[in-house]
Amino acid sequence: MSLNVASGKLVAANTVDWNEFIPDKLVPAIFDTVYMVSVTMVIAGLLGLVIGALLYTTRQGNILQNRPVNIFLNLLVNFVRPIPFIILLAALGPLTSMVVGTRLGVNAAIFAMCFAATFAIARIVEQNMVSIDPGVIEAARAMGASKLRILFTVMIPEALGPLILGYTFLIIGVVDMSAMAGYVGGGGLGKVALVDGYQRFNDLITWAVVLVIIVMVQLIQLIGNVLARKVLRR
Amino acid sequence: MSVASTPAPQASEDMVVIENVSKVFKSGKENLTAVDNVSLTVRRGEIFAIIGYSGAGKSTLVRLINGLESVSEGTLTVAGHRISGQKESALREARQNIGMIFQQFNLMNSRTIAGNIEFPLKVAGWDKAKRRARVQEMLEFVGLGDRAKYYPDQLSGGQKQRVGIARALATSPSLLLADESTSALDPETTQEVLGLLKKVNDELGITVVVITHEMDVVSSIADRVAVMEKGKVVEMGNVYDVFSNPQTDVARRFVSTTVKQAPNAFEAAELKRRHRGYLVNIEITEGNTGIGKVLSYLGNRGVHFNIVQGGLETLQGKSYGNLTLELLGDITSLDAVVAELATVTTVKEVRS
Ligand SMILES: Nc1ncnc2c1ncn2[C@@H]1O[C@H](COP(=O)(O)OP(=O)(O)OP(=O)(O)O)[C@@H](O)[C@H]1O
Ligand SMILES: [Mg+2]
Repeated sequence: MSLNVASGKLVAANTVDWNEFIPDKLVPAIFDTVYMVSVTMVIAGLLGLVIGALLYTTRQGNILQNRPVNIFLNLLVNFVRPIPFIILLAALGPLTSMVVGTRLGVNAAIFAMCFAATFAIARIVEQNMVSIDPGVIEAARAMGASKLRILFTVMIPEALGPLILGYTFLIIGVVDMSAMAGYVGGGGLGKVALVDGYQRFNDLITWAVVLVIIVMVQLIQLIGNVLARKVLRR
Repeated sequence: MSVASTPAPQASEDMVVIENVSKVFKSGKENLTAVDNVSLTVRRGEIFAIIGYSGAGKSTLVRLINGLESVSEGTLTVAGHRISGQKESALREARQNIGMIFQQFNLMNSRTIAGNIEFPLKVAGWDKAKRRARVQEMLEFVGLGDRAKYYPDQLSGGQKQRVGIARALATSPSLLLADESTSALDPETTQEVLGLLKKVNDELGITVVVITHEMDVVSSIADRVAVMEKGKVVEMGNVYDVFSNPQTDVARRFVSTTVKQAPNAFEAAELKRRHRGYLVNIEITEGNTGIGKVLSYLGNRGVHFNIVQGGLETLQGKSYGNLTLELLGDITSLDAVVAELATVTTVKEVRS
């Protein structure tokens, strides 16, 4: 491929053998992306939920009120959140190779994605939980419920509708990250778009990938909306 | 139960004992004393009202009773168990014996009505079959037997408060705290909910503490009342005694919301303009037959009278209030009549 670019003689081949491209490239890439996004969402979804719930419950006047912990978590989240993902990918390189064993490939990408998504999810979880009616929590306390019970059986269910929408928003962000991860050797749709599309001047392939990503995002949003509506009963 | 095994009468008669309790909120360098050296006792089986204007410290005081706030000073016990100075884990247990209902109902929107009532039973560790039976029993008790599967946002305010009451009573507590439980409701629904609280007290024998700023709430259900102002209890006693003979300005202001008080200077001027006779205001209390006797002999003295202003109310089956009378006759007879009235009730000359 570098030959094509270097020689500059070959004009972008805007033709694609779909019978070959779809089963050999596109479908495995879709699976890779779905795999990366799912694993990231499970890991970052849980870690983010824990950090977000802690951000919320350690606030002044809340059930786990703890100023030092709250300040620390806020600083941590604010430190990681503004770093553009593409730079975070590179910056995390040494840590990634320590934890995953390599800086390249799908698993290396997942590590960086988990890192970024955890903190993004933490903020979204916190923001959605802030809107819980404090009176409901007070009622649960008045009934003698423990803090953990309040967190899991009152706070999270009460915020579930907005939480689902928040997570949906983030899955889409993670799909975006997974595409970027293709740039540093992660697999999936991002890699196909980059290597087979962009670098070979094959716009058709790039657009095919874009189309697949759009369809995925639409599907995710649709499922998120349906679930949230079910939970909110509207 | 043998006499020997019953606890000391003091311990069994008192549900809530509050002794010299204060609550100070610290925000930055400012200290705010929300409850200021309050001592009071709520007796087992009574409906005890705490009335006061906004910011008087009523909510803070009830939240001290179930330990949602910790006391800054003093001691507090509920059913003989100490609440003040207890750890959160001990308080959790105590709270299962204390139900609470709220102005904004505070139901969980993510659960059905049945789910809301079931919640405290889960907290208390009841098994599923018992929980289900109890939820249905409570729903019937509050008259919502057919609404188990509804969600709170599908109910009216009055129905929501009924659910709140069912939820608060599910674990059979011996004390129910009601913080402004009818303030968000219209007058008719208020009466329904108050009727339900009365039923809770009568039929289940549950002691009820109601917090309110509405005199009607006190007069329709309470046995005893404490009047709060600026964190202090300024008046306390039997509802009839406090409101037929208020000692403080706050109490008088509350009484005046239900029963017309003796005319103020402006009203007096207006009355004087319209009535040429001698105007006196007399206090009416239950069982005072002296006033009637005095009035029935007025004719013999050449004096007659008109009732020109006043208000009467019944509390706990007893009347109280006051009437302004216009007395017509010659000066000496009038003086004699006023002196005679003064021997049977409190008489005030109406001056502008
Ligand atoms: N958590 C808190 N932190 C600081 N100040 C508080 C807190 N809770 C209550 N206060 C203050 O304590 C005082 C009494 O409040 P409280 O809510 O007990 O009044 P209230 O009699 O219930 O009034 P209302 O009728 O408006 O409900 C108020 O000045 C209030 O601002
Ligand atoms: Mg209040």
